[in-house]
Amino acid sequence: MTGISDIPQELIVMIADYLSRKDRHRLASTCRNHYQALISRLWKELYIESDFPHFWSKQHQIAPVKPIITSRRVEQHAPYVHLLRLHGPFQQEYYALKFPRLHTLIFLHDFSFHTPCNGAERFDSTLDIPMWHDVHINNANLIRLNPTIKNLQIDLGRPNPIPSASFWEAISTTLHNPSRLCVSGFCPASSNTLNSFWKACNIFEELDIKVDLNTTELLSQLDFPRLRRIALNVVPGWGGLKFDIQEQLAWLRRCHNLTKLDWKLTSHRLPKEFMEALEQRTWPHLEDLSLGDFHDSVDIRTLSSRLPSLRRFRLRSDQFQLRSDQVYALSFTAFQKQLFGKIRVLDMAHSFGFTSRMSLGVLEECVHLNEFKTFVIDAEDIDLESRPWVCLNLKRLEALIKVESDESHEDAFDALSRLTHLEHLDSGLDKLTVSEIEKHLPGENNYLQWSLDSGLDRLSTLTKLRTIGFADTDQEMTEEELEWMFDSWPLLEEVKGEFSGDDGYHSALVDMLHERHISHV
Amino acid sequence: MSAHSQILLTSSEGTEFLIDRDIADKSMLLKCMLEDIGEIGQAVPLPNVSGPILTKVIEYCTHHRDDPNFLSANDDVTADIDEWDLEYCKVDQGTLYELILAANYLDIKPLMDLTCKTVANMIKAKSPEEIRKTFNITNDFTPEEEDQVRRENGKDWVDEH
Repeated sequence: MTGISDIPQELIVMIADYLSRKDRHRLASTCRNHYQALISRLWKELYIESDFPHFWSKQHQIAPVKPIITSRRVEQHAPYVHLLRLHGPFQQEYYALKFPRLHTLIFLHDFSFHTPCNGAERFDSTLDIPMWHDVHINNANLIRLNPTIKNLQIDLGRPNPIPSASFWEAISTTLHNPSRLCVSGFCPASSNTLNSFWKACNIFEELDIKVDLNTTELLSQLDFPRLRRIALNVVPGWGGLKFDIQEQLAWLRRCHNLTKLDWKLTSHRLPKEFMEALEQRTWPHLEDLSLGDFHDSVDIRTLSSRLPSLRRFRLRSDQFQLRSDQVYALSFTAFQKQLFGKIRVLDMAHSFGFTSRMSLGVLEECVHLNEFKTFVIDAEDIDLESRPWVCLNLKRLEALIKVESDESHEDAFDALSRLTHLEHLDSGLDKLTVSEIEKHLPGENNYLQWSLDSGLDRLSTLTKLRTIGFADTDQEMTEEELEWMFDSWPLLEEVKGEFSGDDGYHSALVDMLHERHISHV
Repeated sequence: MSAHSQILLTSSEGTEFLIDRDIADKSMLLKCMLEDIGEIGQAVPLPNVSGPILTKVIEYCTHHRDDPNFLSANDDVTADIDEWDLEYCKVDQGTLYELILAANYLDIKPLMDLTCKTVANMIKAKSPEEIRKTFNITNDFTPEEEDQVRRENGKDWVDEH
């Protein structure tokens, strides 16, 4: 390419669509003209962190006050803001602003911020309770000023003080076109607050609730006319409140139009009534189902024979067990029949009974699969000649890959090399806890080696790879492997894991990544 | 109408280009215009596109004339650029900019994607100072303004989607 010339003004905005947010910002920081051209894009998503005193617990001291975007500057740019994320409590004037195009509002309450007193560098924790109480009143005011909000996310961090009934009433009476409500980390103690909370929920299409709840009679009177998607995780926590599994299920069963259900049943069993509900096709439009964290053994055969034809399925159960090979065959047949035809996203990574053979069964039969997360694949089980992998559209694969011999290394790389649409490949162990590793992988340490000697060069076909991972699997990689990756995978942007047992050498290789603007996790 | 009918285009300086209808149809602007008014029998003036640039655009459309995924192939803006397209974009920056403007005006989405992506790749992962060098940009911010811009919009963003 020859010639150097300034980019014409009218092109800046067109080109900005092809840049990441970071690159767009760097382009805007080059000169006034470019900043002006991109101003509406720069302010579209606004993230403000509080300048209140911030207790930095590690050092037992107040962190230096960070500069903040002044409320006046925010007000000047308010028409551009579509997404606003408020991290921490702020001075009152920030809650009196109107954003005519606001569609997403995120309150992130962070209790490491404190009430300022006598200058921002000091604080008096006795003033915090009234301040947090005021924050909810302020939040309600901000919502009342901005009826265009569609998506509202409230992350409260801990139980007290909690938003009162009037906060929830601001939501249910203000918003014109509500879509998604995401709430985490609180327990509405009084029945008045609880009722207002559910009335607010009643107006949304999507709910993501991670709170400690009590029962209320009001719930059975609300009909949730627009509700399509639910993520429900009743955290038994602070208050010891009771909205038990049967009551949750009774509510869910009344929501017939669900297309998505993500239900976490911490410390509970999957009730037989849920199986009945599936069998009775209670949710005829359901296509995305996640069930998680129950601790009794689930009969895969019973569950899979009742599953509707889903596009996404995720199961987390550490007791997900198979009692014998015969049951395996039967269960797997049911699983195959119900799921394999349509499934796009399958996550069995925390279902430790889902064996290597079953994982391979998925890769051999699910033609439409885009994402697959599973616990383990044993390369010894791969047999491409008689059972080739058919999931050629796979974009994401996460699985621990066990490899015993050079030969099975070749088989593993050979199989992977055919997944030419793969963008994310992760064979790391980091998704499991130490106790899970001890329990489910006792004494094992032979995992896929990302080295050219083992056959990594076969993966030169994976030209779309963007992220790779091999954390905690004892790699011994060299500059040569890295150079090979840079040449073979031009889109690579993130690498997760340790290149070498030698810390110094590992850091040197990480520096090589950074030189190429590839991030390392 | 016959599949082999031809269309006459006139560039900004008045040069005439006779091209096949199926090539003209790669441009949504020309396609809609021809569908609306039918065969007009006279030249379609393109006052915004110069002769050399129009030649380049026609070269692109001709190369991709039998491409079945012409309109859907490049939905993914991060996708790779193929070899012919890569060679095609090895032109000076001025030509590249004019191609973007022509692709935008004639509404040829794949050419727009290709040319914008090419410029975007020259910006990607560079610091503001490196971008200034590449594109000959003069920094006219005062130090205070530059600081403010960095502070207000240079936060580590939560997630890149």
